[in-house]
Amino acid sequence: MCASDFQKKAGLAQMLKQGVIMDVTTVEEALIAEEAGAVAVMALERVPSDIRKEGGVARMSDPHMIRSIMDAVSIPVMAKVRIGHTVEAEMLEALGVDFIDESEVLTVADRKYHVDKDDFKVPFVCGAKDLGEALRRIVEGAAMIRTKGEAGTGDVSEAIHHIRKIRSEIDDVMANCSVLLENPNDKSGLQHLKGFSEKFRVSEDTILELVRNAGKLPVVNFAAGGIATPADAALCMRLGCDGVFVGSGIFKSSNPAKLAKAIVEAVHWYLEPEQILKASFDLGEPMRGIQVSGLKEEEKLSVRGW
Amino acid sequence: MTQQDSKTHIVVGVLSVQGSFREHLDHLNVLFTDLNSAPEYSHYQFSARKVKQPKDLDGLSGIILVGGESTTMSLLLQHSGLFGPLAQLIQSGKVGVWGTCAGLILIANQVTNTKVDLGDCKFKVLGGLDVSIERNSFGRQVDSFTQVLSFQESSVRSFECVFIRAPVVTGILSEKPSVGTKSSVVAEVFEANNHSVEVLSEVEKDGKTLIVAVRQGHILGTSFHPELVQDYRFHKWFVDEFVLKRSIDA
Repeated sequence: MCASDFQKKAGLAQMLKQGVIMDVTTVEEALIAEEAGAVAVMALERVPSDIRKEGGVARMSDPHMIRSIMDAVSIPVMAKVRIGHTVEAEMLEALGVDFIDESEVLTVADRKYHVDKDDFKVPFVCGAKDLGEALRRIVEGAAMIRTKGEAGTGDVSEAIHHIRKIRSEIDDVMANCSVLLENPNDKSGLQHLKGFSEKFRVSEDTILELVRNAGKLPVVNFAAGGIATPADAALCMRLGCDGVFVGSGIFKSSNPAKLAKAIVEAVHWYLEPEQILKASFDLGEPMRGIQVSGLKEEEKLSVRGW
Repeated sequence: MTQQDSKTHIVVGVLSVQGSFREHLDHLNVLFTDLNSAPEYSHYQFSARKVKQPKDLDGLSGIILVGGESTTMSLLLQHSGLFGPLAQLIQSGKVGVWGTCAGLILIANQVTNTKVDLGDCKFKVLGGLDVSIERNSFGRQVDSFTQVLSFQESSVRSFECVFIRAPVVTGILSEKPSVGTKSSVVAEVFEANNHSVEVLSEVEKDGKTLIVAVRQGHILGTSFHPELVQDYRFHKWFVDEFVLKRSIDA
Protein backbone atom coordinates (compact mmCIF):
# COMPACT_ATOMS: atom_id res chain seq x y z
CA MET A 1 0.00 0.00 0.00
CA CYS A 2 1.31 3.46 -0.77
CA ALA A 3 1.96 6.08 1.88
CA SER A 4 -0.83 8.39 0.78
CA ASP A 5 -3.44 5.61 1.24
CA PHE A 6 -2.29 5.14 4.81
CA GLN A 7 -2.19 8.89 5.32
CA LYS A 8 -5.86 9.42 4.62
CA LYS A 9 -6.80 6.40 6.75
CA ALA A 10 -4.71 7.57 9.70
CA GLY A 11 -5.86 11.11 8.90
CA LEU A 12 -9.51 10.35 9.67
CA ALA A 13 -8.40 9.05 13.07
CA GLN A 14 -6.54 12.34 13.62
CA MET A 15 -9.78 14.24 12.93
CA LEU A 16 -11.43 12.32 15.79
CA LYS A 17 -8.85 13.48 18.33
CA GLN A 18 -10.06 14.87 21.62
CA GLY A 19 -13.44 13.36 20.83
CA VAL A 20 -15.80 10.73 22.22
CA ILE A 21 -16.91 7.72 20.17
CA MET A 22 -20.10 6.12 21.46
CA ASP A 23 -21.54 2.60 21.10
CA VAL A 24 -25.11 2.71 19.77
CA THR A 25 -27.57 -0.06 18.92
CA THR A 26 -30.44 1.88 17.31
CA VAL A 27 -31.06 4.99 15.20
CA GLU A 28 -32.53 6.72 18.28
CA GLU A 29 -29.36 6.11 20.27
CA ALA A 30 -27.21 7.26 17.34
CA LEU A 31 -29.12 10.54 17.23
CA ILE A 32 -28.70 11.04 20.99
CA ALA A 33 -24.95 10.48 20.55
CA GLU A 34 -24.71 12.95 17.66
CA GLU A 35 -26.73 15.56 19.55
CA ALA A 36 -24.44 15.16 22.55
CA GLY A 37 -21.39 15.97 20.41
CA ALA A 38 -19.94 12.50 19.72
CA VAL A 39 -17.27 12.62 16.98
CA ALA A 40 -18.37 9.18 15.70
CA VAL A 41 -20.65 6.30 16.63
CA MET A 42 -19.99 2.57 16.78
CA ALA A 43 -23.02 0.73 15.40
CA LEU A 44 -23.55 -2.67 17.00
CA GLU A 45 -26.44 -4.98 17.92
CA ARG A 46 -25.56 -5.56 21.53
CA VAL A 47 -23.36 -3.42 23.75
CA PRO A 48 -20.53 -5.35 25.44
CA SER A 49 -22.31 -5.64 28.80
CA ASP A 50 -25.19 -7.46 27.09
CA ILE A 51 -22.83 -9.68 25.11
CA ARG A 52 -21.22 -10.52 28.44
CA LYS A 53 -24.56 -11.29 30.08
CA GLU A 54 -26.23 -13.15 27.23
CA GLY A 55 -23.20 -15.08 26.01
CA GLY A 56 -23.34 -17.00 22.72
CA VAL A 57 -21.31 -16.18 19.63
CA ALA A 58 -21.04 -12.45 18.95
CA ARG A 59 -20.66 -11.59 15.25
CA MET A 60 -20.72 -8.60 12.91
CA SER A 61 -24.01 -6.73 13.26
CA ASP A 62 -26.97 -6.79 10.88
CA PRO A 63 -25.98 -4.65 7.87
CA HIS A 64 -29.49 -3.22 7.72
CA MET A 65 -29.13 -1.82 11.24
CA ILE A 66 -25.70 -0.38 10.41
CA ARG A 67 -26.98 1.17 7.18
CA SER A 68 -29.94 2.81 8.91
CA ILE A 69 -27.57 4.43 11.41
CA MET A 70 -25.29 5.60 8.57
CA ASP A 71 -28.32 7.22 6.95
CA ALA A 72 -29.41 8.88 10.18
CA VAL A 73 -26.27 10.71 11.31
CA SER A 74 -23.77 13.06 9.64
CA ILE A 75 -20.78 11.97 11.77
CA PRO A 76 -18.58 8.96 10.88
CA VAL A 77 -20.00 5.51 11.59
CA MET A 78 -17.85 2.61 12.76
CA ALA A 79 -18.77 -1.08 13.02
CA LYS A 80 -17.10 -4.17 14.49
CA VAL A 81 -15.82 -7.36 12.89
CA ARG A 82 -14.54 -10.49 14.60
CA ILE A 83 -10.76 -10.75 14.96
CA GLY A 84 -9.38 -12.25 11.74
CA HIS A 85 -12.72 -12.26 9.91
CA THR A 86 -11.63 -10.86 6.54
CA VAL A 87 -15.01 -11.46 4.88
CA GLU A 88 -16.98 -9.57 7.52
CA ALA A 89 -14.50 -6.71 6.99
CA GLU A 90 -14.97 -6.83 3.21
CA MET A 91 -18.72 -6.66 3.70
CA LEU A 92 -18.46 -3.60 5.94
CA GLU A 93 -16.16 -1.92 3.43
CA ALA A 94 -18.70 -2.63 0.67
CA LEU A 95 -21.43 -1.22 2.91
CA GLY A 96 -19.37 1.98 3.19
CA VAL A 97 -18.76 2.28 6.94
CA ASP A 98 -16.13 4.89 7.77
CA PHE A 99 -14.04 2.81 10.20
CA ILE A 100 -13.84 -0.89 11.11
CA ASP A 101 -13.12 -2.05 14.65
CA GLU A 102 -11.47 -5.49 14.63
CA SER A 103 -12.72 -6.21 18.09
CA GLU A 104 -12.14 -8.62 20.95
CA VAL A 105 -15.67 -7.82 22.11
CA LEU A 106 -16.89 -10.16 19.37
CA THR A 107 -16.02 -13.85 19.27
CA VAL A 108 -12.62 -14.56 17.67
CA ALA A 109 -12.89 -15.94 14.11
CA ASP A 110 -9.24 -16.76 13.37
CA ARG A 111 -7.10 -17.91 16.26
CA LYS A 112 -3.88 -17.34 14.37
CA TYR A 113 -4.15 -14.26 12.17
CA HIS A 114 -5.69 -10.84 12.41
CA VAL A 115 -7.14 -9.23 9.28
CA ASP A 116 -4.49 -7.95 6.87
CA LYS A 117 -5.63 -4.35 7.13
CA ASP A 118 -3.29 -2.96 4.49
CA ASP A 119 -5.48 -4.59 1.83
CA PHE A 120 -8.41 -2.32 2.70
CA LYS A 121 -9.33 1.23 1.73
CA VAL A 122 -11.36 1.66 4.90
CA PRO A 123 -9.31 2.36 8.04
CA PHE A 124 -9.21 -0.05 10.99
CA VAL A 125 -9.00 0.50 14.73
CA CYS A 126 -7.65 -2.37 16.85
CA GLY A 127 -7.39 -3.06 20.57
CA ALA A 128 -4.09 -3.41 22.40
CA LYS A 129 -3.19 -4.18 26.01
CA ASP A 130 0.55 -3.63 25.62
CA LEU A 131 3.07 -2.06 23.26
CA GLY A 132 3.78 -5.31 21.38
CA GLU A 133 0.13 -5.74 20.48
CA ALA A 134 -0.15 -2.10 19.41
CA LEU A 135 2.93 -2.36 17.17
CA ARG A 136 1.82 -5.67 15.62
CA ARG A 137 -1.56 -4.18 14.72
CA ILE A 138 0.11 -1.09 13.25
CA VAL A 139 2.39 -3.31 11.15
CA GLU A 140 -0.74 -5.09 9.86
CA GLY A 141 -2.10 -1.70 8.80
CA ALA A 142 -4.23 -0.43 11.70
CA ALA A 143 -4.84 3.33 11.37
CA MET A 144 -5.82 3.78 15.00
CA ILE A 145 -5.17 1.95 18.28
CA ARG A 146 -7.37 1.77 21.35
CA THR A 147 -6.72 0.13 24.67
CA LYS A 148 -8.70 -3.04 25.20
CA GLY A 149 -9.69 -2.29 28.76
CA GLU A 150 -12.34 -4.70 29.94
CA ALA A 151 -15.42 -3.96 27.86
CA GLY A 152 -18.87 -4.15 29.37
CA THR A 153 -17.76 -3.93 32.99
CA GLY A 154 -17.96 -0.22 33.77
CA ASP A 155 -14.64 -0.74 35.57
CA VAL A 156 -11.97 1.56 34.13
CA SER A 157 -9.03 -0.12 35.90
CA GLU A 158 -8.09 -2.42 33.03
CA ALA A 159 -8.03 0.44 30.49
CA ILE A 160 -5.84 2.47 32.85
CA HIS A 161 -3.56 -0.54 33.27
CA HIS A 162 -3.21 -0.87 29.47
CA ILE A 163 -2.53 2.84 28.97
CA ARG A 164 0.16 2.79 31.65
CA LYS A 165 1.67 -0.44 30.36
CA ILE A 166 2.03 0.91 26.81
CA ARG A 167 3.52 4.12 28.22
CA SER A 168 6.05 2.37 30.42
CA GLU A 169 7.12 -0.01 27.66
CA ILE A 170 7.68 2.95 25.33
CA ASP A 171 9.75 4.64 28.07
CA ASP A 172 11.78 1.45 28.43
CA VAL A 173 12.46 1.34 24.67
CA MET A 174 13.47 5.00 24.63
CA ALA A 175 15.74 4.66 27.65
CA ASN A 176 17.64 1.78 26.12
CA CYS A 177 17.59 2.42 22.37
CA SER A 178 17.73 6.23 21.96
CA VAL A 179 21.51 5.92 21.95
CA LEU A 180 21.20 4.31 18.49
CA LEU A 181 20.08 7.62 16.99
CA GLU A 182 23.53 9.07 17.65
CA ASN A 183 25.54 5.90 17.44
CA PRO A 184 23.86 3.26 15.25
CA ASN A 185 26.47 0.68 16.25
CA ASP A 186 26.21 1.07 20.01
CA LYS A 187 26.54 -2.45 21.35
CA SER A 188 24.20 -2.21 24.29
CA GLY A 189 21.62 -0.33 22.21
CA LEU A 190 21.68 -3.01 19.52
CA GLN A 191 21.37 -5.76 22.12
CA HIS A 192 18.31 -4.10 23.63
CA LEU A 193 16.86 -3.53 20.16
CA LYS A 194 17.11 -7.24 19.46
CA GLY A 195 15.53 -7.99 22.83
CA PHE A 196 12.58 -5.65 22.22
CA SER A 197 12.11 -7.01 18.71
CA GLU A 198 11.81 -10.52 20.15
CA LYS A 199 9.64 -9.48 23.08
CA PHE A 200 7.20 -7.45 20.99
CA ARG A 201 7.35 -9.82 17.97
CA VAL A 202 7.98 -7.05 15.44
CA SER A 203 11.00 -6.21 13.29
CA GLU A 204 13.91 -4.20 14.67
CA ASP A 205 12.98 -1.56 12.07
CA THR A 206 9.56 -1.12 13.64
CA ILE A 207 11.17 -0.48 17.03
CA LEU A 208 13.71 1.91 15.49
CA GLU A 209 10.91 3.80 13.77
CA LEU A 210 9.29 4.34 17.19
CA VAL A 211 12.61 5.61 18.56
CA ARG A 212 13.08 7.97 15.60
CA ASN A 213 9.54 9.24 16.18
CA ALA A 214 10.55 10.28 19.75
CA GLY A 215 8.51 7.44 21.28
CA LYS A 216 5.25 8.52 19.70
CA LEU A 217 3.10 5.82 18.09
CA PRO A 218 2.53 6.64 14.40
CA VAL A 219 -1.26 6.46 14.85
CA VAL A 220 -3.83 7.95 17.18
CA ASN A 221 -4.36 6.10 20.48
CA PHE A 222 -7.77 6.15 22.21
CA ALA A 223 -8.87 4.72 25.55
CA ALA A 224 -11.61 2.07 25.59
CA GLY A 225 -13.13 -0.57 27.83
CA GLY A 226 -14.95 0.18 31.07
CA ILE A 227 -15.25 3.97 30.82
CA ALA A 228 -18.52 4.84 32.60
CA THR A 229 -18.33 8.40 33.94
CA PRO A 230 -17.07 11.84 32.84
CA ALA A 231 -14.30 11.49 35.42
CA ASP A 232 -13.20 8.14 33.93
CA ALA A 233 -12.97 9.74 30.49
CA ALA A 234 -10.98 12.71 31.82
CA LEU A 235 -8.59 10.39 33.68
CA CYS A 236 -7.79 8.54 30.44
CA MET A 237 -7.19 11.88 28.67
CA ARG A 238 -4.95 12.99 31.54
CA LEU A 239 -2.82 9.88 30.98
CA GLY A 240 -2.16 10.93 27.40
CA CYS A 241 -4.90 9.29 25.33
CA ASP A 242 -6.09 11.12 22.20
CA GLY A 243 -9.77 10.47 22.89
CA VAL A 244 -12.16 7.87 24.32
CA PHE A 245 -14.61 5.16 23.30
CA VAL A 246 -17.60 4.74 25.57
CA GLY A 247 -19.42 1.45 25.14
CA SER A 248 -22.03 0.19 27.54
CA GLY A 249 -21.50 3.12 29.92
CA ILE A 250 -23.86 5.59 28.26
CA PHE A 251 -26.93 3.64 27.22
CA LYS A 252 -26.89 1.42 30.32
CA SER A 253 -27.18 4.50 32.54
CA SER A 254 -30.47 6.03 33.66
CA ASN A 255 -30.07 9.28 31.64
CA PRO A 256 -28.05 8.53 28.49
CA ALA A 257 -28.51 11.94 26.80
CA LYS A 258 -27.23 13.81 29.82
CA LEU A 259 -24.37 11.43 30.54
CA ALA A 260 -23.30 11.50 26.87
CA LYS A 261 -23.09 15.30 26.92
CA ALA A 262 -21.25 15.27 30.24
CA ILE A 263 -18.60 12.88 28.90
CA VAL A 264 -18.08 15.09 25.82
CA GLU A 265 -17.60 18.10 28.12
CA ALA A 266 -15.22 16.17 30.38
CA VAL A 267 -13.01 15.16 27.44
CA HIS A 268 -12.97 18.75 26.23
CA TRP A 269 -12.10 20.14 29.69
CA TYR A 270 -10.06 17.20 30.96
CA LEU A 271 -7.52 19.48 32.63
CA GLU A 272 -10.15 21.57 34.47
CA PRO A 273 -11.66 19.86 37.56
CA GLU A 274 -14.29 22.63 38.01
CA GLN A 275 -15.65 22.03 34.52
CA ILE A 276 -15.73 18.23 34.95
CA LEU A 277 -17.52 18.74 38.26
CA LYS A 278 -20.03 21.08 36.64
CA ALA A 279 -20.79 18.48 33.96
CA SER A 280 -21.19 15.72 36.55
CA PHE A 281 -24.17 16.99 38.56
CA ASP A 282 -27.47 15.07 38.46
CA LEU A 283 -26.43 12.44 35.95
CA GLY A 284 -28.67 9.77 37.49
CA GLU A 285 -27.56 6.19 37.99
CA PRO A 286 -24.41 5.12 36.13
CA MET A 287 -24.28 1.58 34.74
CA ARG A 288 -24.20 -0.97 37.53
CA GLY A 289 -20.96 -2.63 36.42
CA ILE A 290 -18.82 -5.57 37.46
CA GLN A 291 -15.42 -5.38 39.12
CA VAL A 292 -12.70 -6.67 36.79
CA SER A 293 -10.83 -8.16 39.75
CA GLY A 294 -13.79 -10.50 40.37
CA LEU A 295 -13.74 -11.89 36.81
CA LYS A 296 -12.22 -15.25 36.01
CA GLU A 297 -9.52 -15.20 33.33
CA GLU A 298 -11.82 -16.96 30.82
CA GLU A 299 -14.53 -14.35 31.43
CA LYS A 300 -12.26 -11.53 30.30
CA LEU A 301 -12.65 -10.18 26.77
CA SER A 302 -9.28 -8.43 26.79
CA VAL A 303 -7.41 -11.75 26.64
CA ARG A 304 -8.85 -12.33 23.16
CA GLY A 305 -6.37 -11.41 20.44
CA TRP A 306 -2.63 -11.55 20.77
CA MET B 1 14.73 49.65 24.48
CA THR B 2 16.12 46.19 23.81
CA GLN B 3 16.14 44.52 20.43
CA GLN B 4 13.43 42.13 21.64
CA ASP B 5 11.04 44.96 22.54
CA SER B 6 11.26 46.61 19.14
CA LYS B 7 9.86 43.53 17.45
CA THR B 8 6.22 43.23 16.50
CA HIS B 9 4.65 40.23 18.19
CA ILE B 10 2.62 38.08 15.87
CA VAL B 11 0.45 35.51 17.62
CA VAL B 12 -1.45 32.98 15.53
CA GLY B 13 -4.22 31.14 17.37
CA VAL B 14 -5.37 27.60 16.66
CA LEU B 15 -8.93 26.69 17.68
CA SER B 16 -8.30 23.81 20.10
CA VAL B 17 -11.73 22.46 20.83
CA GLN B 18 -11.55 19.14 19.00
CA GLY B 19 -9.78 17.63 15.98
CA SER B 20 -6.37 18.22 14.41
CA PHE B 21 -5.25 21.24 16.47
CA ARG B 22 -2.06 19.56 17.70
CA GLU B 23 -1.03 19.01 14.06
CA HIS B 24 -1.64 22.67 13.16
CA LEU B 25 0.23 23.86 16.26
CA ASP B 26 3.17 21.57 15.42
CA HIS B 27 3.29 23.01 11.89
CA LEU B 28 3.22 26.58 13.18
CA ASN B 29 5.87 25.88 15.80
CA VAL B 30 8.27 24.42 13.25
CA LEU B 31 7.59 27.29 10.86
CA PHE B 32 7.97 29.94 13.58
CA THR B 33 11.28 28.49 14.76
CA ASP B 34 12.52 29.11 11.22
CA LEU B 35 10.98 32.55 10.82
CA ASN B 36 12.16 33.80 14.22
CA SER B 37 15.76 33.34 13.10
CA ALA B 38 15.30 34.43 9.47
CA PRO B 39 16.80 37.88 8.64
CA GLU B 40 13.90 38.85 6.37
CA TYR B 41 11.49 38.39 9.29
CA SER B 42 13.69 40.11 11.85
CA HIS B 43 11.00 42.72 12.67
CA TYR B 44 8.74 40.03 14.03
CA GLN B 45 8.55 37.65 16.92
CA PHE B 46 6.14 34.78 16.10
CA SER B 47 4.28 32.45 18.41
CA ALA B 48 1.34 30.03 18.22
CA ARG B 49 -1.44 29.80 20.82
CA LYS B 50 -4.15 27.29 21.66
CA VAL B 51 -7.58 28.93 21.61
CA LYS B 52 -10.12 27.36 23.97
CA GLN B 53 -11.89 30.23 25.68
CA PRO B 54 -12.75 33.87 24.91
CA LYS B 55 -9.69 35.33 26.67
CA ASP B 56 -7.42 33.35 24.31
CA LEU B 57 -8.60 35.61 21.46
CA ASP B 58 -6.91 38.71 22.90
CA GLY B 59 -4.06 40.04 20.79
CA LEU B 60 -4.25 37.50 17.97
CA SER B 61 -3.07 38.42 14.47
CA GLY B 62 -4.48 35.30 12.87
CA ILE B 63 -6.56 32.25 13.70
CA ILE B 64 -6.82 28.76 12.22
CA LEU B 65 -10.00 26.69 12.50
CA VAL B 66 -8.93 23.06 12.28
CA GLY B 67 -10.19 19.78 10.85
CA GLY B 68 -12.38 17.56 13.01
CA GLU B 69 -16.12 17.04 13.42
CA SER B 70 -17.97 20.28 12.76
CA THR B 71 -21.05 19.29 14.80
CA THR B 72 -18.92 18.49 17.84
CA MET B 73 -16.97 21.74 17.51
CA SER B 74 -20.11 23.83 17.00
CA LEU B 75 -21.74 22.38 20.14
CA LEU B 76 -18.62 22.83 22.28
CA LEU B 77 -18.17 26.41 21.05
CA GLN B 78 -21.77 27.21 21.95
CA HIS B 79 -21.51 25.61 25.41
CA SER B 80 -18.21 27.28 26.29
CA GLY B 81 -19.25 30.82 25.38
CA LEU B 82 -16.54 31.10 22.73
CA PHE B 83 -18.98 31.03 19.80
CA GLY B 84 -20.07 34.70 19.90
CA PRO B 85 -16.67 36.38 20.43
CA LEU B 86 -15.04 34.10 17.85
CA ALA B 87 -17.71 34.85 15.22
CA GLN B 88 -17.26 38.59 15.88
CA LEU B 89 -13.48 38.35 15.54
CA ILE B 90 -13.62 36.32 12.31
CA GLN B 91 -16.09 38.68 10.66
CA SER B 92 -14.37 41.86 11.92
CA GLY B 93 -11.61 41.61 9.31
CA LYS B 94 -9.04 42.44 12.00
CA VAL B 95 -7.22 39.10 11.86
CA GLY B 96 -6.27 36.61 9.16
CA VAL B 97 -8.57 33.58 9.26
CA TRP B 98 -8.05 30.10 7.82
CA GLY B 99 -10.52 27.20 7.98
CA THR B 100 -9.47 23.68 6.96
CA CYS B 101 -12.14 21.03 6.28
CA ALA B 102 -14.46 21.19 9.32
CA GLY B 103 -12.98 24.65 9.93
CA LEU B 104 -14.11 25.68 6.43
CA ILE B 105 -17.63 24.50 7.26
CA LEU B 106 -17.62 26.62 10.42
CA ILE B 107 -16.59 29.86 8.64
CA ALA B 108 -19.10 29.57 5.77
CA ASN B 109 -22.19 31.74 5.66
CA GLN B 110 -24.26 28.83 4.42
CA VAL B 111 -23.90 25.06 4.93
CA THR B 112 -25.98 22.44 3.11
CA ASN B 113 -26.38 18.67 3.42
CA THR B 114 -26.23 18.98 7.19
CA LYS B 115 -28.06 18.30 10.41
CA VAL B 116 -29.76 21.41 11.75
CA ASP B 117 -31.50 20.33 14.95
CA LEU B 118 -29.29 18.69 17.54
CA GLY B 119 -31.69 17.96 20.39
CA ASP B 120 -32.03 21.10 22.55
CA CYS B 121 -29.25 22.72 20.49
CA LYS B 122 -28.80 23.78 16.87
CA PHE B 123 -25.93 23.23 14.50
CA LYS B 124 -24.67 26.80 14.14
CA VAL B 125 -21.80 28.15 12.05
CA LEU B 126 -19.63 31.20 12.72
CA GLY B 127 -19.78 32.66 9.20
CA GLY B 128 -17.41 35.06 7.44
CA LEU B 129 -17.08 33.59 3.95
CA ASP B 130 -19.77 34.35 1.39
CA VAL B 131 -19.97 30.80 0.15
CA SER B 132 -22.28 27.84 0.38
CA ILE B 133 -20.56 24.66 1.60
CA GLU B 134 -21.83 21.14 1.15
CA ARG B 135 -20.78 18.70 3.89
CA ASN B 136 -19.35 15.27 3.03
CA SER B 137 -19.45 16.21 -0.64
CA PHE B 138 -17.25 13.43 -1.88
CA GLY B 139 -19.15 10.73 0.01
CA ARG B 140 -17.92 8.61 2.91
CA GLN B 141 -14.44 7.67 4.16
CA VAL B 142 -13.83 5.08 1.39
CA ASP B 143 -14.15 7.98 -1.07
CA SER B 144 -11.42 10.03 0.65
CA PHE B 145 -8.46 10.77 -1.63
CA THR B 146 -5.23 12.68 -2.07
CA GLN B 147 -4.35 14.89 -5.02
CA VAL B 148 -1.49 17.22 -5.93
CA LEU B 149 -2.75 20.76 -6.55
CA SER B 150 -1.45 24.26 -7.27
CA PHE B 151 -3.08 27.50 -6.12
CA GLN B 152 -3.97 30.65 -8.00
CA GLU B 153 -2.52 33.87 -6.62
CA SER B 154 -0.13 32.00 -4.37
CA SER B 155 3.41 30.72 -4.50
CA VAL B 156 2.25 27.26 -3.43
CA ARG B 157 2.69 24.84 -6.34
CA SER B 158 2.41 21.06 -6.43
CA PHE B 159 1.10 20.64 -2.91
CA GLU B 160 -0.12 17.23 -1.74
CA CYS B 161 -3.72 17.69 -0.63
CA VAL B 162 -5.43 15.14 1.61
CA PHE B 163 -9.24 15.11 1.37
CA ILE B 164 -11.02 13.27 4.20
CA ARG B 165 -14.82 13.15 4.10
CA ALA B 166 -14.28 16.60 2.67
CA PRO B 167 -16.75 19.45 2.15
CA VAL B 168 -16.66 21.55 -1.05
CA VAL B 169 -17.71 25.06 -1.98
CA THR B 170 -20.86 24.59 -4.07
CA GLY B 171 -21.72 28.23 -4.55
CA ILE B 172 -20.53 31.77 -4.11
CA LEU B 173 -23.24 33.83 -2.44
CA SER B 174 -23.99 37.06 -4.25
CA GLU B 175 -26.67 38.15 -1.84
CA LYS B 176 -27.53 37.40 1.75
CA PRO B 177 -28.72 33.78 1.85
CA SER B 178 -32.31 33.07 2.68
CA VAL B 179 -33.09 31.50 6.02
CA GLY B 180 -31.99 27.93 6.65
CA THR B 181 -34.02 24.89 5.70
CA LYS B 182 -34.43 21.38 7.04
CA SER B 183 -30.95 20.48 5.82
CA SER B 184 -29.13 23.81 5.63
CA VAL B 185 -27.99 26.46 8.07
CA VAL B 186 -27.15 30.12 7.61
CA ALA B 187 -24.67 32.08 9.71
CA GLU B 188 -25.61 35.27 11.50
CA VAL B 189 -23.70 38.02 9.68
CA PHE B 190 -22.66 41.01 11.84
CA GLU B 191 -20.20 42.55 9.43
CA ALA B 192 -20.23 42.19 5.66
CA ASN B 193 -17.08 41.01 3.93
CA ASN B 194 -16.56 43.62 1.19
CA HIS B 195 -14.07 41.59 -0.84
CA SER B 196 -15.11 39.25 -3.60
CA VAL B 197 -14.62 35.51 -3.33
CA GLU B 198 -11.66 34.23 -5.38
CA VAL B 199 -11.42 30.57 -6.35
CA LEU B 200 -7.88 29.30 -5.67
CA SER B 201 -8.22 25.68 -6.71
CA GLU B 202 -10.64 23.13 -8.10
CA VAL B 203 -10.68 19.36 -8.59
CA GLU B 204 -12.43 17.23 -11.19
CA LYS B 205 -14.51 14.40 -9.73
CA ASP B 206 -16.93 12.23 -11.68
CA GLY B 207 -17.13 14.82 -14.48
CA LYS B 208 -17.85 17.67 -12.07
CA THR B 209 -15.59 20.60 -11.24
CA LEU B 210 -15.53 21.22 -7.50
CA ILE B 211 -14.08 24.22 -5.68
CA VAL B 212 -11.73 23.17 -2.87
CA ALA B 213 -9.88 26.40 -1.97
CA VAL B 214 -11.16 29.98 -1.79
CA ARG B 215 -10.14 33.35 -0.48
CA GLN B 216 -12.25 36.37 0.42
CA GLY B 217 -10.14 39.26 1.70
CA HIS B 218 -8.74 38.23 5.07
CA ILE B 219 -10.30 34.76 5.01
CA LEU B 220 -8.85 31.57 3.50
CA GLY B 221 -10.81 28.32 3.22
CA THR B 222 -9.52 24.89 2.15
CA SER B 223 -11.44 21.63 2.09
CA PHE B 224 -8.26 19.56 2.50
CA HIS B 225 -5.72 19.18 5.33
CA PRO B 226 -2.30 20.85 4.92
CA GLU B 227 -1.67 19.96 8.58
CA LEU B 228 -1.46 16.24 7.69
CA VAL B 229 1.57 16.45 5.39
CA GLN B 230 5.14 17.31 6.37
CA ASP B 231 5.14 20.40 4.18
CA TYR B 232 4.92 23.87 5.74
CA ARG B 233 4.49 25.96 2.58
CA PHE B 234 0.76 26.41 2.97
CA HIS B 235 1.10 27.57 6.57
CA LYS B 236 3.87 29.95 5.52
CA TRP B 237 1.71 31.36 2.75
CA PHE B 238 -1.14 31.91 5.21
CA VAL B 239 1.19 33.76 7.59
CA ASP B 240 2.75 35.88 4.81
CA GLU B 241 -0.40 36.73 2.94
CA PHE B 242 -3.19 36.76 5.53
CA VAL B 243 -1.47 37.49 8.84
CA LEU B 244 1.51 39.76 8.08
CA LYS B 245 0.00 41.80 5.25
CA ARG B 246 -2.97 42.57 7.45
CA SER B 247 -0.83 43.53 10.40
CA ILE B 248 1.02 45.97 8.11
CA ASP B 249 -2.26 47.41 6.76
CA ALA B 250 -3.57 47.75 10.30
